[in-house]
Amino acid sequence: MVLTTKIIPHIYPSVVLDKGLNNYKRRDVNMIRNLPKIMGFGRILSDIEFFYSLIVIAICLFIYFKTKEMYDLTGHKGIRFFRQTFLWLSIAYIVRFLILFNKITFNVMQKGSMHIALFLFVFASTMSLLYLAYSVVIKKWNFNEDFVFSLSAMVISLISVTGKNIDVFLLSQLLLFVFAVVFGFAKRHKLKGTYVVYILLFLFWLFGHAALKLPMFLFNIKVGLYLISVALFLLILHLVLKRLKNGKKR
Amino acid sequence: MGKRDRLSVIYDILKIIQDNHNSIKPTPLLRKSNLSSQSFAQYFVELIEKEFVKEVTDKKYKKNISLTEKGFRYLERYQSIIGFIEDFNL
Repeated sequence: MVLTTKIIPHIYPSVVLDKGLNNYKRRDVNMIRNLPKIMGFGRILSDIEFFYSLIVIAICLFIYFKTKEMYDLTGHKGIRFFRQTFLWLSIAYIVRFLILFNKITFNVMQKGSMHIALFLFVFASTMSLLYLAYSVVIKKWNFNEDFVFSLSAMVISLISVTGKNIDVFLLSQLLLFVFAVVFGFAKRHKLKGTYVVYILLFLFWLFGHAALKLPMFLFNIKVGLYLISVALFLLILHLVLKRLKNGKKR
Repeated sequence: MGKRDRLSVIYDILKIIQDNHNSIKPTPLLRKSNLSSQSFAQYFVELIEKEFVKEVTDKKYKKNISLTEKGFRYLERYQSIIGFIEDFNL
């Protein structure tokens, strides 16, 4: 009983939320019978998340370093924000990777380190979306973007972590995303496929967050989200490399 | 013709220098760049600071402007950079 109430909700929380605690207790026997299968899924999902994070970190850092020369030559603000977006995205995934690594290796994480890791994750993720929004919207406002963005991200992270309220984090990310999409689309009458892919990438990044919030998300759906995310990241990488290789006729 | 953006003006100035066998005097460069002398001075300072161009004194002690390696790289990469900015709506 102790084993099931402690381990099952941890590995497969949808069981508790879907069925309710009372129903769940009545189903203890079946749960124990299915435990190896459930634990197997949990382990596979951890492994998939582990490799997914590694792939995304590699792609983000590759894009960041590949576009360095472009920024050095032009000093273009939009390119700087594009690079910052991927840098902060890679940091967010590194923190996510470390949390997973810790969970897999030591099976438990201390409360203090969990709070710090969560703070860093929310901070990096918010920074990434702030830069995304700013890169596609306006570059004409003159203010110290880095300071203002860091301050905003810090406030959102503090509220999310100290208040243990992930809704603040999700809502802020969603608002930033909508802001980027609406103003980005309004800025351009003719949309390019690359821009749409860029926006879709962040939509799936948000879905990934939502999957954390909604434990009833099924194993297959979660894996599907990761696969689509990786495909979008690879597509962005391909588009960046293609553009760096072939210039456009003037 | 609409107002040229910063990257395009820099490209035009560098291209003029390249098309003149990588050596041109400041006055013809100003004339060919279609900029006011004030704007030209600002761009010229930026190009020198960023090491896109260098001033070379010839045998008659006259100043000529030449492209540096970085300047040539800018010309080479310009089309890709503009395409990248357009593609990602930056």
